[in-house]
Amino acid sequence: MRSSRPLDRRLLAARPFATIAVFIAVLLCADRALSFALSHAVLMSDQRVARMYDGRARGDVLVLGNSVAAAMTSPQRLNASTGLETYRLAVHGLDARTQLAFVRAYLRRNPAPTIAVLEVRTVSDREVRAREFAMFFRESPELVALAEAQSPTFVPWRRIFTLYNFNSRELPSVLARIVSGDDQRDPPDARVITMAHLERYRARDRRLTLNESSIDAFRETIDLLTRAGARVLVVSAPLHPVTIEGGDWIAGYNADLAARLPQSVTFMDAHAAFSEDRYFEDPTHLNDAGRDAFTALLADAIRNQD
Amino acid sequence: MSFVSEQFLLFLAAAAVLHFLLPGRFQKLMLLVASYAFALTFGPTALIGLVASALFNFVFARACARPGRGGSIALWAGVLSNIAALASLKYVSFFLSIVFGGPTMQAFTADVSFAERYAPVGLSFYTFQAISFLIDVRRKKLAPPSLLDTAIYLGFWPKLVAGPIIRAAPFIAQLQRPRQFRWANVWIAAEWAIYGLALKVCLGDYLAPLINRVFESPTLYTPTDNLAAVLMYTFQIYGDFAGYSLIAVGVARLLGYKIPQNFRRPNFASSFADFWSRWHISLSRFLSDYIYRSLPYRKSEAVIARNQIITLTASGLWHGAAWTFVAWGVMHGVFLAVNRQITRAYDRAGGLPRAVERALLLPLAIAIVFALVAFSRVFFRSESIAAAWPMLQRIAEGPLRLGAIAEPAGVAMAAAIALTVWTAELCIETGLWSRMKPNRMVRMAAAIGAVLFVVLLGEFSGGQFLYAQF
Repeated sequence: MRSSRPLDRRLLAARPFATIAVFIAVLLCADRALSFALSHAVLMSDQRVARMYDGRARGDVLVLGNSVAAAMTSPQRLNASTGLETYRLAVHGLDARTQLAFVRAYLRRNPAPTIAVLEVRTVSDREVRAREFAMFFRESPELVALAEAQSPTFVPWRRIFTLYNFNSRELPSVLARIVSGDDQRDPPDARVITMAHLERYRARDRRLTLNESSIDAFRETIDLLTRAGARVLVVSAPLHPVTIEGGDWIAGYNADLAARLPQSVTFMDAHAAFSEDRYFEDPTHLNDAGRDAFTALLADAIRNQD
Repeated sequence: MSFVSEQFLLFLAAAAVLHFLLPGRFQKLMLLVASYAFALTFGPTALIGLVASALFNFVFARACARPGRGGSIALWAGVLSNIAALASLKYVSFFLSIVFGGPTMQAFTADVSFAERYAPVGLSFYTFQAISFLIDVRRKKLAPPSLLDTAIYLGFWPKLVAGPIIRAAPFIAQLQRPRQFRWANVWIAAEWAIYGLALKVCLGDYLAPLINRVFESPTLYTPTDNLAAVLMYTFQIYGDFAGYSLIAVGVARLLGYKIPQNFRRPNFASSFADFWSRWHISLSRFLSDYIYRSLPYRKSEAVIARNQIITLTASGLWHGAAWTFVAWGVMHGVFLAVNRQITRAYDRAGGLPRAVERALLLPLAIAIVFALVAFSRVFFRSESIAAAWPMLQRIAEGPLRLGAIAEPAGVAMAAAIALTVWTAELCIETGLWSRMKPNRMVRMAAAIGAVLFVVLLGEFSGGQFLYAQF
């Protein structure tokens, strides 16, 4: 007994380190297993970006941009009025550089569209939001590079915990699309702008300015789409009159941008197309009635492209 | 330096290693250096505030210990000076606005906001510690400690930012012997820190953006969104503050010091007295011991109710210089007093059988307390009392429909997180967890689950703790 005591003590001393090692090993295995399962779940989703990365995006017309572009288009109504299948890739928070990564992946994995509709709001973004789409990192090295350049502290953590790639505010809506189906359908809401929206907008200066690196990314996106055989229609979506009460800054923004785009691109400046409250959900987003009305204008522009 | 940052991990590792590697006689000095270095990361005023408080309270503690009238005078002078320092740095604009009103107030604004902007971090917490310290010395609960012990007690870095408000006697007693490194402390500290982090980043910070946007413009959102924001805010503030407190208590334990827990599942409180024994326990005890018991007392229900309302109003004011906090405190005082009368009437009537009480009354009481706490927090969270009304009006307008939620996926995820935490706490509250007699493997599996929860759903851009502002 006496001779075994030092050995017991050594074992006891070794046990904490063994416990830590087991803890870390099980943690990392569970992390890998869960992220593997989640990456498959994400690609099963009918969310627009998931479908695009899974090669299930089909559209003669491809709509790109942020939430403003998403709110201005109704794929079903555009299909009905032009006879062209429309795919809305526009997604909340998209910036020009992340959009470029999306377009690269779209063209690699899906048939090229005939017409691409690009909304202009992404060109003002200074921030790169690729990190928000980290759940698709496995599918896109471009997104990884963008996110890593933007947030260096993100890099080591996402290498230690692969599950960290799925840590995104977008994850619930992506997973929800597994059960709630195709997100190309229009939402059922019919919200209308209120006085509170107008007052809130007036309280802050929300004028946009062009961002150089975003313009470069935007032009590169146009170039990629053109080379893939698509005709490009750049659109400035309708804004509520409250946005230009202090001067028509968006006209200048559009003119500056149009001057820096290739000649082959058609520029549709519709920022002042509607002035009635009933078309808007808030000062920058169209509601269902606005989408309906704008679809007619967009369909005309698309037919003119033909 | 936020607890949720890479820098904090490095600071903790360095402080813990040095704490145990240095010979025992240097341990306290190391603790003070670490505490002041930690304070310095919040700016020089944090350090100046701590040093000044340590020196001042050390001197006054010696004076308080003197017998006779001199000691009493020293106690009053010490307590009032601590309150004056707190008031001048945190409450000046509030009191000036009461005394002078709007226009004169504007003339003071620049100076006042300057003072309030530079109020040292954790001031409200260590000032209350200092007050209890002086009173306890006067009451002979402890002998006046050395300057080093006083400085560590006030500035102990794990609890510097937002408490818990610790008591001098048990803490200073622990400083008298060098702390030994123990693996048992490491496991406990790691468990508490993991659960605290999960509460902070998954519950508190994940819910924050969903709630903030509704509180900023309640009229832009549907009645259902407003109601969801009010209910979720109760979980957000709990996650944020209880998360911080768990990490603080865990870090202290890692260094070998036991400081009391600050929360005990407050969402399961079945009365307001019960709520205040579960929510911000260290503040409740302070208020109970040093304010409620110091108020004039007679065996009359009206006097008890008055004292409860005064004590809870003081609790509201402690949170900050604003009418919203006063309203919140008064509300809780009234709830507490009314709750007492209802309980007395129920007891006088003989009550229901125990089984019926447990099956029906207890869940009903928990739901009512939760709803009233959530209601009071509309005022606590709002910028002003006027700003709280539109939110309550919007909820009252109705209709409340699940389909009317602006961001259903986000809210559903937030609700799922809150429900997960609530279910885990229900297992502890009902004793299910302890009946399972979890061995090390089960506890390790639970901790791994919590880490994965943090990695997948944690919001790491929030950073600041809500109670750090108090």
